[in-house]
Amino acid sequence: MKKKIIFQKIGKKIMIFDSEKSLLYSLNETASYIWKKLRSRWNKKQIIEGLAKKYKVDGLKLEDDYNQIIKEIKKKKIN
Amino acid sequence: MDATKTIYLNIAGFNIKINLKETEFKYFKEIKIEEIKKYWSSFFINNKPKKIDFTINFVERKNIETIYQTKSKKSFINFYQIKTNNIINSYYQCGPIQFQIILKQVLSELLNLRQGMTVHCSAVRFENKAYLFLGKPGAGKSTAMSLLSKKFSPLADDSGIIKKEENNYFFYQTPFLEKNSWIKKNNNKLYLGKIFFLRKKPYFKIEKIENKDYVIERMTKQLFSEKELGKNQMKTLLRFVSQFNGFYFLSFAKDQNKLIKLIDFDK
Repeated sequence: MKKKIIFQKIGKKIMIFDSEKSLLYSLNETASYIWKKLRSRWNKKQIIEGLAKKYKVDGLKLEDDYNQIIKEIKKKKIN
Repeated sequence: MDATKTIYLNIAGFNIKINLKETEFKYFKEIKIEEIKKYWSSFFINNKPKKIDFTINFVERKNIETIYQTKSKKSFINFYQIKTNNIINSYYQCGPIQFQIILKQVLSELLNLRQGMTVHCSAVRFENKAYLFLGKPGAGKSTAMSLLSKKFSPLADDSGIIKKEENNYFFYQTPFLEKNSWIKKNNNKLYLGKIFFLRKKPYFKIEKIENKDYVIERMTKQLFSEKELGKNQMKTLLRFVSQFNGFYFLSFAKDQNKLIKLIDFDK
């Protein structure tokens, strides 16, 4: 994780502050879950299975959401 | 030459040692002490504290360094120098306004390290708690405080300190000079009661704010900061918003009795 980033869990969401850019990101519940599991070094399969179990949704339907969120996390360099 | 004279201030639970160092002009020391007493006497402590959090030295300097910026025709005066993480040197020639700027710097450093922050707010005392009023300039911070001062002791007109100590959040008064100089200041702490975001409306209402994203967005704009919010400041703010649950909207109009009744009723 980048040194200039701090995070805080607030309710079910995670807030991430990039002090280098002075930007604050508020992740929604799903993105917070994915971000948290990435930090715990879970792989894609584990995360999608975890999400499917948590929200009682078909894992296949979650893959697009997962890919989109990962893309955003990488783009914003907050992983 | 005479020896160093020392006085102590206690602000937001921090002990600040002020050394008035040797000077050829003995009356410089007396003037400086009188000056500090005049504006900050309620923060004085008589006995030497066990722990010193910060030291400000007043030292003699016959020639004060200045920088002249030709382009803007501005002259800048050096009025303090950071010696270490917890020592600042200033000069006898600097007055109370400069001293206040130094105190802001000192408090900012100390609060950053101890889960504290200074916010733009007005505040009143409600039983043993502090109620804070936040809002943009013109939102009614001073108005709300003035209207409520008939029943509740005013604590702040422009700024207040929120600090975490032993798992509780407390309110401290800042040592800064404010618009309403009649507000009595001291170094006592009060439990942080409620934080109200003000809305000028033709009616009176208190609503709990559940959306913490909104609270963070609003509070980042209310923090005292010399520059952009730093990592520690944001960390303190995020932690505070996650742990404290007393955020409300206060819609109000200029009616003293109705406002007092509303605040009183909403215990």
